[in-house]
Amino acid sequence: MPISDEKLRERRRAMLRSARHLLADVGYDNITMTGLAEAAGVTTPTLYKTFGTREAMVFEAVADNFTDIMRDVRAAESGRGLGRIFGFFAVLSEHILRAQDYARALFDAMSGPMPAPIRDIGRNIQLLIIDEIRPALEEMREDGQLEEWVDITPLAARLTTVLRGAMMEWTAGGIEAERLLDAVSLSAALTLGGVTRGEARERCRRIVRENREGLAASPLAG
Amino acid sequence: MPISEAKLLERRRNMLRAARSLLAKVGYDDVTLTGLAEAAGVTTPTLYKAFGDMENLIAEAVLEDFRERMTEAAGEVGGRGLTRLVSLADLFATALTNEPAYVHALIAAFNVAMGDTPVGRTLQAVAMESLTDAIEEIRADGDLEEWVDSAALTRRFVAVQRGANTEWANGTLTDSRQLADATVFTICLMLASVTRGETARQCREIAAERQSRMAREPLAPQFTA
Repeated sequence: MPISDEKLRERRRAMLRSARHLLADVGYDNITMTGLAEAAGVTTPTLYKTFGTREAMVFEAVADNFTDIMRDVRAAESGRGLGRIFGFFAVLSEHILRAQDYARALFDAMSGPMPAPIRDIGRNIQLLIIDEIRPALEEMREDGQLEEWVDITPLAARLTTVLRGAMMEWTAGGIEAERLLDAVSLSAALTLGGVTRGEARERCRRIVRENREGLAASPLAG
Repeated sequence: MPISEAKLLERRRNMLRAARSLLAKVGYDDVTLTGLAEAAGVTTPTLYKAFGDMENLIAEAVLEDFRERMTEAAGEVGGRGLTRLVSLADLFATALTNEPAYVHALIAAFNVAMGDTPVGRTLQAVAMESLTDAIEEIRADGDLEEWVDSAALTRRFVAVQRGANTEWANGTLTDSRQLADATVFTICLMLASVTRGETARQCREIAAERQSRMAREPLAPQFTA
């Protein structure tokens, strides 16, 4: 009796899930095909047949998870423009908090001089986040909230830089996980406060003021 | 005959130089005390005696270099307030990209182990100090909003630098020019939202200028959500 497509897909996703668990446990450098097979409860030939290489499998495991995250982002429907951007960052931070070891392993792998597969993962995630931020910035432009001289794409790209910087602050031990969203919000609000006007600018400044205290008071890393 | 102090100092500097070369060659994780002794052409007991432990030696090696760059930078950097801040950010970016191998090793150590090593902590502290001074100059000129904490703002700047440095390390920002533009653009936007008057105007002007050099169209992602 042949296995249904759905069953096959479910099996594939289960293997990807176990790959993420392994990544969280041992870190990218220590992942082997044998370890992946063991974690998934299948043989290595099955893995090779299904994914080709270790790198391809990890890549797909990360992509699979990011697809879920983006589905949540869209389901959250946090309004338009500025609200949409901060809503998006809130969902991202929430996912990271929920799978801290996994996120940490991924960020650690992406923090040094990284091997090509990890670089591809990092770039892809960045590009997807840019794609998600751009329409929100377009909405702000339509609503007259953005200053004329601002280009949408470079601004979206730098918002991902800001996001990455805050995440790395957490993985490096500079801030507690519970403060991650504060740090992200503060950085994003500071950045957007420099290119918005009117009510949007006031809102950014309000977010900066609301989030500034805990971060000002927290000591240097370590 | 006792060795002169100048001679001792010179030896110490040689060991630190050797440590930096080794760090660049093998990366932070693979540096060992034996390797360091070999690179410096001395015995491990000599190293122990001179520096205590390995962490300490690496910290001192990196800091010596960093301070030299900073001093050099400070000498070149004119102006005050915003002008100095921007020049410092530009110089950090250039200093980084001048020696990619060494800096890649540093970034790995800095980002991953920053919370646990004296290297990361001190590096960050030194970088922050100069930026905080520049922010305080803006305050002295009356252009900074009263409620802004300069140390907290500096932390946001350092986070931006760290994010951008990683983008340079992974090839998204391809050279020192792009790294500097991305960093300065973002820092100026941040500063524009908490300053007023002439400084606020200049922040926007600088950001607009840097923006004109940045890429407009990103590549298409390989996986879709």
